[in-house]
Parts: sequence; C-alpha cells; structure tokens
Amino acid sequence: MSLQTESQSQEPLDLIRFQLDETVLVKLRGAREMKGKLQGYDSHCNMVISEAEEYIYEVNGNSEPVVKKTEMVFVRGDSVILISPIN
Amino acid sequence: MSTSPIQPEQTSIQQKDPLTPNVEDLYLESYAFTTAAAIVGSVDRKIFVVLRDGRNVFGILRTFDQFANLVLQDTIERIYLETEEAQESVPKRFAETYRGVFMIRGENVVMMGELDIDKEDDHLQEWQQIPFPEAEKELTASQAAKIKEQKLKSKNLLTKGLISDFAPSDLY
Amino acid sequence: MLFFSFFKTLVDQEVTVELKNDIEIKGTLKSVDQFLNLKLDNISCANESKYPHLKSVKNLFIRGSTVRYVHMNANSVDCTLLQDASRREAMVQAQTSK
Repeated sequence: MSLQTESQSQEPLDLIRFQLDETVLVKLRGAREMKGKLQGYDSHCNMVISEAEEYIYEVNGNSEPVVKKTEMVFVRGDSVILISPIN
Repeated sequence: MSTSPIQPEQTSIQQKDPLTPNVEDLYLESYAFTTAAAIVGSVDRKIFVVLRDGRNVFGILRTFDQFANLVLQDTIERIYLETEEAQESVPKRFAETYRGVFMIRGENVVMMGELDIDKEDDHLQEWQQIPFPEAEKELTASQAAKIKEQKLKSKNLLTKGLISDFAPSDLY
Repeated sequence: MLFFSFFKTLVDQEVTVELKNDIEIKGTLKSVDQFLNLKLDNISCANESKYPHLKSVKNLFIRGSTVRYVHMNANSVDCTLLQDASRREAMVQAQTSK
C-alpha cells in the first residue's frame, strides 16, 4: 500500500493530468479527432480544450478531413476513445 | 465572525459555525441547478420533446421527476418529411396524429422545450399536411435506407481505424 | 462535479451546443445540473430543417447524454483556475478511492 502512495503515476488518468496545459490529440467517436491544448478534465474523460482543431473524416477514400477550429470547447467524455500527447 | 465566547442566547449557533452550514440554505442555494428546477417552469405548459428514435411529440407537460421522465397530456406526434435538397416546386410535407397521454422515460429524451403558443404553427404555413399513415410509411422507408447507409459508412470508416458506431435506436 | 461547477460559471453566457446528431444549437446558457443537462434561452439552430418547430421555442432543455461538444468563448474561461481544479479533483479522487 505504501508503494502506491509514494509513486505518483499509478493510474491511466494520471497521464492525462501530466498533459494539462500541453497539446493533445483526442480521438473521438463519430470518426473525429480533436487537437488542442488541454485545459481541464475529469474522471469521465470530459475535457475542455482550447485553440482546438477538429478533424472530421469522411468515407470516400483518401479525401482530406474537414477541419473546424474553435477557441474553447468542452468535449463530453462518452465520445472519447483515446488521448495522446503530441509535440 | 464573532469570536466572543459568550453568546447572549443559543440562537442559531449552528448557522454561525461555517463547518455546519444551515442545511436548508445549502439546499435552496443548489436547487437552482437541479434537473427538477430546469423543468419545473414548463409544467402545465405546451412543450415539445424530441425522442431518441427521432419522434417529435407535442403536448402539455403535467409532471416529471429528476430523471426527466415526463408525462404529457393531449399529445400530438408530428412527422416532418425531409425533402431531398431544395426542391422549390415540391412543398415540404408533414403529418400529425393524436396520441393522448404519453409517459416518456427520461433516457429517451434528446431535448425538450417550451413552445410559444402564438408562434408554434407559423412554420407550418410552408408545409403541406398529408395523412399520417402515408407519412409514417415514407419515414420508415427513409429510416431503413439511412440505417443501411450508416452501417456501410461505419464499416468503411472502421477499415481506416475510425469508429463511427451507429445505433439503429438513435435516429434523432 | 468539476464540470458541473465549470458550467455554473458559464451561466448567462452564449454557448453553442453540438449534439451527437451533428445539430448545432446556439443560445444563452441558463442552467446546468449534475448530469450536465443544459438549459438554453434565445436559441437559434444552424440546421433548422430537421426540427422546424425550434423557431417557436422559448427555452430548450438538452439532455446531457446527447451532447457531443459545447463551444464557448475563450475569454469566459479562466484556464489556470480550471487546470488547478482538474489537478485538485484528480487528487481528491485518488484519495477517496484508496
């Protein structure tokens, strides 16, 4: 038990904590991705992302995804598939 | 805060202690941000509800609970048939049927809102009413086509590692 | 409860709610509850053809579970406060789960 208290990064969500104020790529349901600066999150993976770029992928072959920009957006956690740090 | 050890009376000692705030005050303060508070103003008013299966129902809200389970009276179900592109020549069509008392389970609610009864039928001026069974038939067909299309799309996207799951029960 | 409090700070601000069916509804945030159900006033909808009656709606209650995004003004959010609150919430959660 004492080991657990000593080490800081035990849980998956701790990785997200380290990404606060950093740029992340979030993969979402509905064939979407969101890139931006992580401003907040909770245990449901609800998130607030600033200076965000949303990529919406379409079916037809190799066409480029639609890009939408927003300055500040709340993303509901139930759409989130994965969160990944990017440089 | 007064730190005087001698209180003239034992009146509201509880209220003065910040660690045991008046429960009633707390309740009233947070009540504004409950599901009930959001809906209570619409009771006995004409509202519309969009359900997860895509249905539009209109009726008078009689009661509800914290899950947004609703009871509507004198409910009308309305179908709006979506037309392909902007076909100016063809009028947009809708249909209505009387449903009476409706109890809606909260999880099936997408959104609901109070209607301005002076304006609620304004948009229908441009719409043509058709018999309900006819509209229902057309809607079922278009929904079946939509489901098929969505399933194919999901399958294609999945091959590219993109999840776009589609539940046939979510047609709103 | 972090985002519940967060949305409470956004009350009376203009937000745009994007639902999972791609419909976007703009309005003034009037209320939020613990499930993140939202209540909007003065709504306008980008895609009105699907729900034409939205024109005659006074206020709109949106169930939290059907929301995909909520877009808001950047200057209505205190980023440092939100980041700190996220860390604090994570800490509290870690402690209570032990």
